[in-house]
Amino acid sequence: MAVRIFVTNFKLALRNKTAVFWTMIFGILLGTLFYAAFKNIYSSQTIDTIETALVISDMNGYEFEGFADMLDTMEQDDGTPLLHATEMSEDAAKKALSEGEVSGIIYVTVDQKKLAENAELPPISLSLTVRENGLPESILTMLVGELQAKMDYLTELYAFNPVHYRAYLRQMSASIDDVMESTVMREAMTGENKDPTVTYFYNLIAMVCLFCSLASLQSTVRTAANIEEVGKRIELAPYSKVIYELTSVAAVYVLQLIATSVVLCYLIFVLGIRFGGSYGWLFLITALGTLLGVSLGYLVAHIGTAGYEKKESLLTVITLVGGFLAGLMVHNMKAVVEERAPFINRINPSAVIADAFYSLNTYGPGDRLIRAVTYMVVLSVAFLTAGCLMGRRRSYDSL
Amino acid sequence: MGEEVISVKNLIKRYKELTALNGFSLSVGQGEIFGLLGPNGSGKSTTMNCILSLLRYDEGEIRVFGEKMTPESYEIKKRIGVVPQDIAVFDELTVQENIDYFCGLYVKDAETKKQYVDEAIDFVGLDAFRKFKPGKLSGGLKRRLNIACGIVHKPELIFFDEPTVAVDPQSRNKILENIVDLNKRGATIVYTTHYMEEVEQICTRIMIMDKGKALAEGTAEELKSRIKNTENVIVDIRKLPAEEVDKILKLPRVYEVEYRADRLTIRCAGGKQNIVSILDYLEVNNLKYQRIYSELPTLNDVFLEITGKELRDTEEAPDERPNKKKAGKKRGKEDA
Repeated sequence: MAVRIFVTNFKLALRNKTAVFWTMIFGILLGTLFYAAFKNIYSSQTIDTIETALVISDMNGYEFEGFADMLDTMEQDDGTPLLHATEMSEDAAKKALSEGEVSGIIYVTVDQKKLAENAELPPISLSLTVRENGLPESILTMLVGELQAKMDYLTELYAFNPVHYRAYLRQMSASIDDVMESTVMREAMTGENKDPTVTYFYNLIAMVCLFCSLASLQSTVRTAANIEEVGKRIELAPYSKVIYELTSVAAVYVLQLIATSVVLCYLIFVLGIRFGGSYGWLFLITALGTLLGVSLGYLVAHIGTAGYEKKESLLTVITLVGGFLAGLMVHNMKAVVEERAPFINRINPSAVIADAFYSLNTYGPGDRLIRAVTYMVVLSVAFLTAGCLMGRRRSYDSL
Repeated sequence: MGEEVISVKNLIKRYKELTALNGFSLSVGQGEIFGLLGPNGSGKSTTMNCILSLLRYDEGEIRVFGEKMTPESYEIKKRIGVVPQDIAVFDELTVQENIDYFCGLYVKDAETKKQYVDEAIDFVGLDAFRKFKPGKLSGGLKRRLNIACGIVHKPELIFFDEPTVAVDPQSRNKILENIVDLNKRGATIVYTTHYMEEVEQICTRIMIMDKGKALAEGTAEELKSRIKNTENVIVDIRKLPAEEVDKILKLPRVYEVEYRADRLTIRCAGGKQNIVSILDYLEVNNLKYQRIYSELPTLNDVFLEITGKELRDTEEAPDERPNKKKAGKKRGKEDA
């Protein structure tokens, strides 16, 4: 019986062109548009060395030497240095920036607030000021973001296992090398791929995963007698409704997984986007992201007694607002949310998917990625369980 | 009445302040075509949905095939078929795929399923439309598909909820024939409608309901024998003065006269053959008419006498209400 329900619902989902469109065509179209927009960036083989000002201040007596030298060691394929960092005073740096002598100013300070919480550790805070938008500025932005992430990661590690501050600095210095080897920066700086925009494609995949929720919403709403007439037949069938729903959601999942995989393959093999991390991890995160999207749709289908249109609107709001808060539209938004309301990042599917991609991209396979992937599974199961509990009753107050 | 298939006792269903069913009871026996007749909003569909456990109810007891009906009564549900009021099929599937799918929810064996699907398609006359999707079918054909999906698993008890709404006469007749045929094959039928002609045509027993209450129950003949109306004389006559309507109302055996759209309906009590005296009156008073004929009372007359309103009243526009006068009531008062 379950096989029959699965096959028919797969057929129904396959013939539901709207849902397939949103998942696959949207991903392919937008991916192509991104690619076209960033084409110039891809075509540039070597860029001029980026002149950068380095302003180190408020270090509370902590040593922080050699940072500029470390930055200078980064080279492109042909040996051209990527950056040339010059340490100078803040005023001199601002003057150099305004006169176009440098592309940006990297500020290095100790985060006083965090320092007050734990004096053993010098939490380094990096910030960047640029004058205009362009490839050098994009690379600088990415570099500073990557370095900051590495430093925060090390700070977290040391919070659990405090050691001497010099050891910490040694680790941090080593982390500069890590950054150079890390996914995005390696691709952006060492010449394998001059793509500083891969994050946009990760975000695109995350959005595609979330659009899968529309298909499961539609599939599940059909089983409700108070919303769809055909739901009466399903409610009256001598069969557990929960099993019916989960079987049909499984059919939707398989189809949507095919669609998201097609999008991913298109990005990788047709457009040639070089994502960080192995394909295995990439496909696993995409598969779990699809599961999370489908689970979200299943949950929303069981919220309240409103009709399909209202639930679709609710789902659209959840995915768009969630995407915004997860930084899929505005850079750094996820970090802002993490600082002010971290709970939202734990329950926001967009943030959970984005975090998994970010972990793969920034840290590669490791504890953090495992944690992010596990969280995707947990949230999916939570959504499905909540949907089951809400949908198991088969009598209504009104039809 | 055969063995009791459905038993509903003192059913109360409230929608917030509105009481849709108010102590409603009914009993349906095996092999019956039980008609539930009432105007729109009388509680017919609510009753059906409560019996099917689709709707929660506030008080009362419902038993189907002798057992309490609940949403988890899968063994009972296997024996039930439902034809909902609106078309309940998947638009993405073809006629055959739809019927096959809904049959598959009840029948496991592939060979049996195939046989049942073919029989259902043949039964409703959709053989030429097997590969059509519902969107390509006419309203009448969609109704037939709706029926096929509800009866394909050969249920013992079938609910039809107004299956002929917005259907052309040809499809309507086909649907009614199908229902009688299903009954002859052994199915018990519960048929809800507000079309009294259909109920009279096919139902072996009828319950008239209004405002969530059962008003009367019996065969069509039994119901009609309980009212004082024995004959309706209809006269097509133009521009009949109001005073003439009053005079006709005073004729022997006439107890109600209604004049609407150049049609005079004269309701008589205490026997038939009233047309002669009415003809005499028209000729003596030199009233020219186009046509005159006599009709026996219908279920609409039963409903009219019980409730004071017509079954079709709920669908009328206000300006189409008739000039109706009753003997013993204040003259000129509209009683629509």
